[in-house]
Amino acid sequence: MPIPSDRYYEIVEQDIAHEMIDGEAIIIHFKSGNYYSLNGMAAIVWGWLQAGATYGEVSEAFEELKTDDVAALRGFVEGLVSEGILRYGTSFDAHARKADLLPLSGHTVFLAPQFDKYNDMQHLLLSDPIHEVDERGWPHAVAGSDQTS
Amino acid sequence: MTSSVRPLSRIYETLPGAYFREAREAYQRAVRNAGISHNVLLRVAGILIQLRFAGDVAQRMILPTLAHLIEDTKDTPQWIFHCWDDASTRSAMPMPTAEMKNDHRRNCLHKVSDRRYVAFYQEWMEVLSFIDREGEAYACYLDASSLPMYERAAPLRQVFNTALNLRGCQIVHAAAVGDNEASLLIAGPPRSGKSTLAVQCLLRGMRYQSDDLCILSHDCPPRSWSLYNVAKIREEGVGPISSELPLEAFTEGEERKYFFHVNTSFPDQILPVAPVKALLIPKITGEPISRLSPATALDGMRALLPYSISEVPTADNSGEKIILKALGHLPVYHLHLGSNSDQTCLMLKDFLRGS
Repeated sequence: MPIPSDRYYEIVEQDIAHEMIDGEAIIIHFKSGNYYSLNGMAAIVWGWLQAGATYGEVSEAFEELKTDDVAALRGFVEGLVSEGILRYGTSFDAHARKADLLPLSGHTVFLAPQFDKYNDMQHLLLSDPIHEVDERGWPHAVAGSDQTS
Repeated sequence: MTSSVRPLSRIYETLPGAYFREAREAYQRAVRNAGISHNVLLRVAGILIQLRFAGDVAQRMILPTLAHLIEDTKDTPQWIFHCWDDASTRSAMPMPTAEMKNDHRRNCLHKVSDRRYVAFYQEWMEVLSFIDREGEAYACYLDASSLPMYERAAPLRQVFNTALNLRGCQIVHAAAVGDNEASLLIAGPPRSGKSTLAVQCLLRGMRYQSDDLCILSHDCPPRSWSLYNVAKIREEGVGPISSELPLEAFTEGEERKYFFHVNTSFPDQILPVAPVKALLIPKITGEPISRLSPATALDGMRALLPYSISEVPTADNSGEKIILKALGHLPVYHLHLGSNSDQTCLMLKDFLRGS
């Protein structure tokens, strides 16, 4: 089913930390302990969505989208929703949009955006120093998990 | 260890403010029983903190680690921290109930924490911390005389960190050394060589902030501050310097280590605060010569953030946000760590000078 062109997205700020560093968006999701890297086109689209662009404005930013391109763009944006990073906006506020960061129509060559997802920090971001230490105490984690010192 | 008899009050079970007030009453009881032994002002990342102790055991165990932060000033402190221990003052620490501990994540007792008050319980070493974000905090040990080195070398971290978070700073798991102009953060997983490198730099005349935990701000450029004036050495590194330093032995897990207070042996080399020039991620190579190579921000995040959050968790994830923001302003390098520590330190000195 196509995404409505007037749909816009909100960043789930209370659940994530995010920063654009040298053209790469790095996102940490607190509840899952996952983190994400968005490079190239993914970082560009992320920036547009962050500025308040609707899905229609994002898709119209590209010169011409083929069927596969539409699927790739939808998969990327909806993937961020599935990961709990974005959610559907509920009260559109035109004044909250950052007009100078919104996309220009038809000016961008499409490259399929995608994010890289990592879970190798989960054991440190989610571990509970109270309940998951062995009898020697923190920083000695229970067997099977990593430890810090 | 057994706790002394405490009043039968359960009012705090769902009320953060009431639990905080119970901590305040327990401290006041400790003062009545044991008196105030110390009342000092500390400057921590620009924040003036009055640190008050009831009884003398807790201050004897932890104040030397903070001694370099003591300031003689008439200024009004922004925070007042109170500290006591149950055993020497006979004022029971207000232990959390089983119900409170049902929602006990990353040290925080969430059932008795809210936007204003936060309670932390480090159960394995029996430390309770109560913070009113408006500027008052209480920390209680069950028995300060038997504090593990983990706390003696980095005391009151949850209390300090909560106050620091409000100023855009976070305690991070990193060594930090520098010169008069700038610092280098050295972050990585355990046994990557950062603590040993920090002590080697200290012994070769560089300025020193930390071998393990320091303060990082998210300014542009980020700044680092010394918080704990402690340096730790593994047994194999002790030989050449053991006769020159007042080393104290301790055991961490099954490993024997030694520590000393930097401000007593190297008072002029402590670097209170400096802009951070770069984040270095050390890796021991087995080669004789050390070298630097560029790394990505993602590499930097992997080296710095998870260990910092694991060591000093925050109740509201503000630590992750501060560290990530700081990384946005920090060049990151891999430090391929060779065995020639003279060459390594010279290289870092040159790097700091920009050559």
